[in-house]
Amino acid sequence: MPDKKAARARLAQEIQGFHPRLWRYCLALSGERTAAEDLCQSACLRALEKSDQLQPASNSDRWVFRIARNLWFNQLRAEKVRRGGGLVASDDIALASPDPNAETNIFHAEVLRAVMALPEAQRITVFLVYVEGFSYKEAAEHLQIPIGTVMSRLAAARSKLAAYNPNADAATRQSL
Amino acid sequence: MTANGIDDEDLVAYLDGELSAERAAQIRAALESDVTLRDRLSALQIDTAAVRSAFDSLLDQAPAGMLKNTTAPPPALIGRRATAIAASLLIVAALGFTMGRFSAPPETEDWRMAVAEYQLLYRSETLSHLVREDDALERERARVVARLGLDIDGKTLMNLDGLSYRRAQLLGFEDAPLVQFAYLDGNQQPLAFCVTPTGAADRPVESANLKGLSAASWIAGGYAFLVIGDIAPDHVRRTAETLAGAIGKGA
Repeated sequence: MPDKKAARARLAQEIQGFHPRLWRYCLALSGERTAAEDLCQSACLRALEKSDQLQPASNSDRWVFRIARNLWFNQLRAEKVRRGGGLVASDDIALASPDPNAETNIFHAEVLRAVMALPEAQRITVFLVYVEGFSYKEAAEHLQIPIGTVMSRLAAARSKLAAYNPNADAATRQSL
Repeated sequence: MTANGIDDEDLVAYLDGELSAERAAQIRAALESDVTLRDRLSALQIDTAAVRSAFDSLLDQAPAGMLKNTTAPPPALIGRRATAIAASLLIVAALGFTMGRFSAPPETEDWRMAVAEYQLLYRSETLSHLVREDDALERERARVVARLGLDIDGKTLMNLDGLSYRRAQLLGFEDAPLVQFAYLDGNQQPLAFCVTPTGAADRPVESANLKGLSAASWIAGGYAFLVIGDIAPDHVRRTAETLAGAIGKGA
């Protein structure tokens, strides 16, 4: 079936382009690296299996993101809990940066730690809206929740993250 | 919901530019007269650009995924991002192969036409920015030829007369791996040397014109070879003969 093969080849090529972003989303979903790698790998495989179902006009990245989300919530997340991995965001996200003295790296690591320490639902919503640039409506559709829930998650997350308020004074920032 | 009918969700949507113009105007007006509301807004303000750039810094660390189980040596000389991207290219290509049934090797004509069409999309800019250390090129070559199952010597590949070696890529045709080595000639014209397994019998080097590109192809030892580019036919042929000679000698 050349059409099916062509669809898979096309999708494989597109995944090449957004693979790092997909892995990053898997990290936001799962909260830790090992699970993120497994999830990312499973999502790629599942997407390629189902590549003939991708509508030609749709964004393949959003489609594969949805596959990753479904895999995480319907399957892998439960396995992780069963294995006793828990759902606590882990500190290993902030890896040693190439230049640990660079101020921006320290700041990035702090911000990452703060976001990854948010409760799962808030963390994922913050990621989709502020990192991936989803509109509230898009985030609601992707997560299959009402827009109001997107808003309340963001409000809760924002109050916790407000230490990164650009107007916050240095003392507040350091106390994090 | 608070006394003035503005809750935190409204304020967040206001900050994120998600409110209707009308509702945003109401909140703006309320903020002007209400100090408490301004404090509440301030308590919800975060540096979203910092969040984005912190997460962007993670992109460099994207792992090689499928490749983590292979024996590829750790990257040292090329940047982490380049490694990650190159690695993910390979993973996806590898995924395509491992998932598909390994069917009959491609028909000679078909795969050559597919390569010709692909090659038509190449411009000098596709390759001119790819300038990397020898070690990185060598690791890339080793990885790619390992997938192919035919070891083509780096010295042969990277020292072809009048051609500057740029990259090795793992592609696929039907369910078979297809390896492409990319070059630029002295006029910055792209040229590709491609190899894929075949079930066809050996055939000596023969020249052809495929989709307007100069080409030379041959079959040896279960592999089909093709040199192709928009450059002089005799340069393509000479290159093909050099490669056929070297690979025939087990290079």
